[in-house]
Amino acid sequence: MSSKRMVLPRAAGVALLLLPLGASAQPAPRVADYTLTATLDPVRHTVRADGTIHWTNPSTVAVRDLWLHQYLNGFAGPRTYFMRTRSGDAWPAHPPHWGGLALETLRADDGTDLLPTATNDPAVPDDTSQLHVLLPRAVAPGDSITLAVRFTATLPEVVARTGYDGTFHLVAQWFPKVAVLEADGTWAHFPFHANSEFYADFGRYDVRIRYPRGYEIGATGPRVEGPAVVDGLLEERHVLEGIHDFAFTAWNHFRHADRTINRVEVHVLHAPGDERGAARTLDVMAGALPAFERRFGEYPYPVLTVVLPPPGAEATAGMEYPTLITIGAQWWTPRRVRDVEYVTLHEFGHQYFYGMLASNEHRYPMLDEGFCEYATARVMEDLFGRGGPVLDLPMLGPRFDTWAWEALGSAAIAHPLPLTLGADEYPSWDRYGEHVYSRTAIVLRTVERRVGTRLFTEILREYVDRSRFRHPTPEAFYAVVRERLGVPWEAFVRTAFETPWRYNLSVSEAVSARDPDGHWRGRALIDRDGPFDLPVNVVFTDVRGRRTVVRIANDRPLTVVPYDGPAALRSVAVDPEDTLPLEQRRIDNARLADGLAAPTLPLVARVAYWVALALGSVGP
Amino acid sequence: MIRAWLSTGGRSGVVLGIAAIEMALAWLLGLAATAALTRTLAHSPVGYQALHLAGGRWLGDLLALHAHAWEPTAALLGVALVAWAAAWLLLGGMLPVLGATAGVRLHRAAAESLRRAPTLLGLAAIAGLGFALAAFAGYAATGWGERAAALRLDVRAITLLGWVAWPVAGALAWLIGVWHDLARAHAMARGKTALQASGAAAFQMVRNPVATMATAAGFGLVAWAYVGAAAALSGLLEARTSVAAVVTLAVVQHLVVLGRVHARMKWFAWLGGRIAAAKTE
Repeated sequence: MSSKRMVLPRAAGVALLLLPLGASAQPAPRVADYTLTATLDPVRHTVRADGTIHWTNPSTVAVRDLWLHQYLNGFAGPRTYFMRTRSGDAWPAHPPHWGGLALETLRADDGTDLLPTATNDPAVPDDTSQLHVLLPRAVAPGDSITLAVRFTATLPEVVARTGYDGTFHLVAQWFPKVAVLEADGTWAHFPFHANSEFYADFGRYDVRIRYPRGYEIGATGPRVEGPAVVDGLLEERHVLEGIHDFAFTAWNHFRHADRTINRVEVHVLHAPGDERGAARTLDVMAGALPAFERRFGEYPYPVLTVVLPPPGAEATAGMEYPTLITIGAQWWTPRRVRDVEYVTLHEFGHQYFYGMLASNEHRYPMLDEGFCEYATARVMEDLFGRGGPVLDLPMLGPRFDTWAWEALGSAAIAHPLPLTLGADEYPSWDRYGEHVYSRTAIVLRTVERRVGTRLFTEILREYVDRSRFRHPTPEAFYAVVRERLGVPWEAFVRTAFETPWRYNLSVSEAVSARDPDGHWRGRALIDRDGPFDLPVNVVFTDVRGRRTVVRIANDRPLTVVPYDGPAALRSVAVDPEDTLPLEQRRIDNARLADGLAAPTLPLVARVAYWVALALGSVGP
Repeated sequence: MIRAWLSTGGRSGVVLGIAAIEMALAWLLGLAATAALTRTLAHSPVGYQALHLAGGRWLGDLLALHAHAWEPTAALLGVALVAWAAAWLLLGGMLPVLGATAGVRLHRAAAESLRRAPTLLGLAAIAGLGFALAAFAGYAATGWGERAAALRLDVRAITLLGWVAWPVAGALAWLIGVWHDLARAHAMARGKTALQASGAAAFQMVRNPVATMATAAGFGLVAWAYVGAAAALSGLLEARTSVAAVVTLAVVQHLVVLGRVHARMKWFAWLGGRIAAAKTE
């Protein structure tokens, strides 16, 4: 295998490569264009860069200031806002080597030096992840200003998706990035919080990366020039429009595997010896790209780079940047343990729910992580069959489906919070995760189960199409739900997203007795704990196997459902079709009639066998 | 041939007795560990089959529903295992006694084992030290392997070298286990002290390495083959819920436990025979 990737087509093809393919339908706005030349020093672990930021005011009001995010400063020391807000063991408390972003030059296009008057956010002490810049002139709506920048990014030893390990470098959040100016003229700026990801405006990124010989790099966007030798270093140029961030990776031991899938050049960069992981990644992408395009519309970029970080750099795995994702997996896991597949699908899904849509990940993390989690499970099911099995080893017992995993994650929430909280409003990483990922996904799954996969796919597709390159809020999704499903469904989604809830249905009693006329009469008690008035089926099964289905309104805490049949009642089940996967428990949705009991001895026998093996290991 | 393999030289009753005790205890612990689960599953129309349905959702529900019970259940099983291991420290002479002399009753062997408890504890302490050293060697070798592999930066080599270290440590632990069996056999058959038995066992391993190791490996492999066969069958039948499948699996799993005790008895009978022959010489 060659150590250099195939050189991409140049000249005439270049112009086409720069534009996102979906741009013809709804072009991405060009709010913040970055033209940078960056030089990686892999010995000092620094990136020195200079260039320009061309910013156009997308709002309806003139502004005289501007906010820059300098998120690499989240790793500048133990007292930064990022390090103060980390919870549990989500990220290391003290990387052995801190990093940071030193902005050396910041000049307006009239030559004004902007650094002397620039300040960090006084509301966030000890934190330099934001820079408030006063402009020398007002920038009217639609007008632009060009800032000249020069800076040095010092990478930390890998922590939270960024940094270096030995000679491996994952260079992310490495440049000063303009915050989003909302339509009403307010700046959506925020310090780098440990729960939070990012929010930025679309633009054209034209980045020249210089790096020592012997290294191979992977970067956002297609390579349009190079690698060529410049000043003793290799230089290559990556250019892409319709994106809102830029990251790259460099290592002197990368191997690569490439494949063209649905016209997209997919490059996998991996460690020596991880050829199997790379092949699996390409195989899953061969299914994922068509599946995502079928459900969520065209992937608008010509490339995708998937990075499998080497051992030691695992903290950079499982992250998304425009057209560059990092995944993590062990090369030796069996194919039926679908960890590679799951993570690849999830991170690729972010090219839609983060990349193209670019919702505010800080304010509404559920819109990217939760919707992406739903999309992941949906495509897992498309590719691997019913339930989207993520663990499918019969030798080890039960199969685990992605949907079941999401449902259990949501059900595990002990103290519910609204899903529309900001990332910094969740008190811990765990509580952030269980709400934002699992509960959001399972709410969407519930709507899908109620209205049908086909219709819900159309709804999500419409939301994605309308929101492409538009920074959607939950209102954008509510609007599509209202138009396609009506006000009651909008109310359901609003309640599920915006209020804390627990929800469960259970059969608490099932009885029948023979009347003098020979009929068996009885009742089932259906308990509802939670806010949702959604009709469900109750199924009575008698001892002869005859089933009777009764539809109940399910609009009160307790519903009494009468039974009248020719034989004694054997069991009752509420919602056996599993149309409400957001339930706290499913195991109590069905029960045998009072007085009956199911055999459980085989379970005891299995446990006894394993105990006997354990006893034998310390026995005679 | 099968008959020859099954024969334990008049010790079948003893083998059945020990296996029955082991299974009875396992069943008691199994019942205690699953009591809460079975109460819930008994109300379900599909009973224990719920564990295999709904892609793990019902299993997850059960685990969450009884989350409060896991800690005491794990503690119960842990205490039971420790108590069982402690009992076999004292009864560790039973199989060697039974192996050395056919026709000894179980309670006689137990009484003899208890009488020689200090010797058995001494041998167990030496073996325990050896096991700890083997574990440390494995740990150290893993670190060395990873450091060596890291120079090549080949993730497969890194993992494989890490994996190789543990089988080597496992082989060392197995050697110590064989030595421990031999030492107990010498102690119980010839009335030697712990130190004398240790020396005699080591001497036998050096003098007859091929016969001793091959026989030990043979009996060990047979015992593990039973477990492997049961695992394969379990893979085929685990998700099947017919009565025939459930009964077949349960029977096979009980036979595995019996087969393991049987193989151990045959091994100690072989050791007893060798020691008796050496004494005659």
